[in-house]
Amino acid sequence: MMTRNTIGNSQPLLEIQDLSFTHVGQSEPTLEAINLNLNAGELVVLAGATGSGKSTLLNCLTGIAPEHTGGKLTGQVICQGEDITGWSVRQRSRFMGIVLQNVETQLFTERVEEEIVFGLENWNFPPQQIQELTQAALVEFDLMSQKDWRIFKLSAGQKQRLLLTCLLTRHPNILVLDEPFAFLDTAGVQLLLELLQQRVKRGQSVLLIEHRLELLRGLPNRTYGLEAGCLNCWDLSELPTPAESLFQTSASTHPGPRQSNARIVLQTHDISFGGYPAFPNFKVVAGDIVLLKGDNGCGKTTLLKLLSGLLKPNTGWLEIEGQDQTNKKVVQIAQTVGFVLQNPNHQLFAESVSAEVMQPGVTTAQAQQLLEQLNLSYCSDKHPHALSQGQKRRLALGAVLARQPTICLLDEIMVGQDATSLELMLKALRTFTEEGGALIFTSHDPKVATMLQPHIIALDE
Amino acid sequence: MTTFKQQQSHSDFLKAINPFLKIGLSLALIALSLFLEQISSMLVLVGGVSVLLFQVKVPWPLLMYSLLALTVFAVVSAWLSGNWSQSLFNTLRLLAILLPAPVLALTTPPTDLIRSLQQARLPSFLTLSLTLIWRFFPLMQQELQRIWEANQLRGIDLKRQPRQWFSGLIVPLVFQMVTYADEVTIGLQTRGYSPTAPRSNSRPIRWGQVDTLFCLMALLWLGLISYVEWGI
Repeated sequence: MMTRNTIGNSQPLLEIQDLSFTHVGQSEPTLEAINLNLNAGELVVLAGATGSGKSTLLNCLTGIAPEHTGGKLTGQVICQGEDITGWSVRQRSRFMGIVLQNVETQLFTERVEEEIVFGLENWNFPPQQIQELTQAALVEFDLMSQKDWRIFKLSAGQKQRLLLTCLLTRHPNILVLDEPFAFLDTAGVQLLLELLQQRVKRGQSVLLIEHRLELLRGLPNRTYGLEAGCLNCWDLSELPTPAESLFQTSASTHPGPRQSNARIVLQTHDISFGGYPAFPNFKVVAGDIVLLKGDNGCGKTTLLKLLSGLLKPNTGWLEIEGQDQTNKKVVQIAQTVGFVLQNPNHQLFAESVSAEVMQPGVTTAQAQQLLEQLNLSYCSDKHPHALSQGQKRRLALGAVLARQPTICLLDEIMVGQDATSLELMLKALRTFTEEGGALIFTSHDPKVATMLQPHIIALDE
Repeated sequence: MTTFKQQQSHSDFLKAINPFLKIGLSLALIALSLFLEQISSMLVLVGGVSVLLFQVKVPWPLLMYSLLALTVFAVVSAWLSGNWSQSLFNTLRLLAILLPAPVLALTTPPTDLIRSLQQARLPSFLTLSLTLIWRFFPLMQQELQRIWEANQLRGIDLKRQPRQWFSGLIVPLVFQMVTYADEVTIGLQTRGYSPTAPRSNSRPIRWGQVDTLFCLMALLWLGLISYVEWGI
């Protein structure tokens, strides 16, 4: 069902009229006759399966497509009565605060305060006003103590929060956010939700692309789902809760309590690193599922790097299968420990999806089974870098699981997965632990914890 | 919230120097290296640049491989020419030409570069190009390290498996760089940057005591090189 919504009599802040978009080299449109209005003081959510065209719609709206992506766009984008279809990204950014999925490419300076100043200087604000707005933003977003922090050392969630601060300092009429909750901790999610509600009350409009719809219950004025290139109106209250949908398939497979004679595969002894407080000691046994929990910046990724050998602890030591790892190299530890990184682009080396999984010692049947498990067999001949971000994460996981490690470490790899893809990923992980593998992961998504029922190690207590 | 305690960088001294001063010194060093004919003066030049380079945190693997590549270059050129001292001199000259750029790039924050270019009223297309290139150097270093680590995690030790360099290092690095080129351009626009639009400068770069000190040290250094080469 296509929709045309006009709430109230006032002129919408943003109107999308009969917008269609066809990617380069494709004959069928990715988006077809999309109509959508965004009124002042509205929060509108856009959902849909991975690859359904949400980001394409955002690209069309923000001017990234077709200017930077190529392709054919028809229809109109109207902002406050003015046709902006031919405008550049920069021209549209005057009215829109745009947060893309990879915030690293939207941050340009070295330190937190400089980043806020950078954006204001770009819009030619007078120097005196820049100082006032920067100080106000630092206070409002509770960043005063972090103003001299170096940006490249911030966690993904902290970077996302900083970018939002930079954009909101200018009070744009419209906010367009692509999965802004992806890397945020519980407190960060709460803070952002409150912030968005405040902005909506002030008359700003928010268009949000998000998979984690359970976070948004009761908040959006309207929710749309993109299916087969068309926009359908969704009722959030009618969607099943994550627990319902996931328990249907997995309630009977929750891991029970640890057996007293279970084989210990990993044990830490007073590990500390850099400026972080000492990490808690813990043991992991075969078949365990462990969630490292903590706020943004508490050292979850650092601990995973210590466990994989990429970092060496300043104090303490690590035992894997009863052996001290202090003098072992990463490549030696990698024989028993697999690590899927936050950004899958660094971990994909082969010329095709199937070749990525077909590593030494992996049979064709095993590789095919793994690709089917992760719903990647239909694109097995594609180049890994031609996949979507969500598909790349599943493939990076497949490439690690194919090597059958004793311990698998995952750093926030569940982001950007729709419900179906997430379920496939979690099922593959469940199979891995049922076969005796140990899983240690980080995730801010409560769905994942609901499904996997992990032992939790809190890093910020 | 328990968070990482951020530490100060070791290269803060170089970061505080006026970017124009650093650009000027780099150009002077490169030009000088083309005129020098004695190995001793070239050693003074390269030694000084190396001291500056050590202010910057360069990953050990990268440093070791660069040294290895230079040694191979020196040995091959000596073998081909049959003249060891000339080949050593050529290697030092190559270093003198190649080293100033990374020192400059890794110690100049992008915002400082934009500010100094703005003040110099350089053409806008040049400002944008240099800004993007400047953003690329640290990104490239970061990406290289991440890809290197990803290889190790897969059990591939690139130090011992140079045959894996193409598929394991060069292909993902080139892919990342091409992707970043596009994404950074878009990112700059979403933050309101335009090379043609007027831009305010809330913190103009001014000449400071640290610049005077650096200037004096640079003049002394250049003087020493000239003295060793020409006796003046």
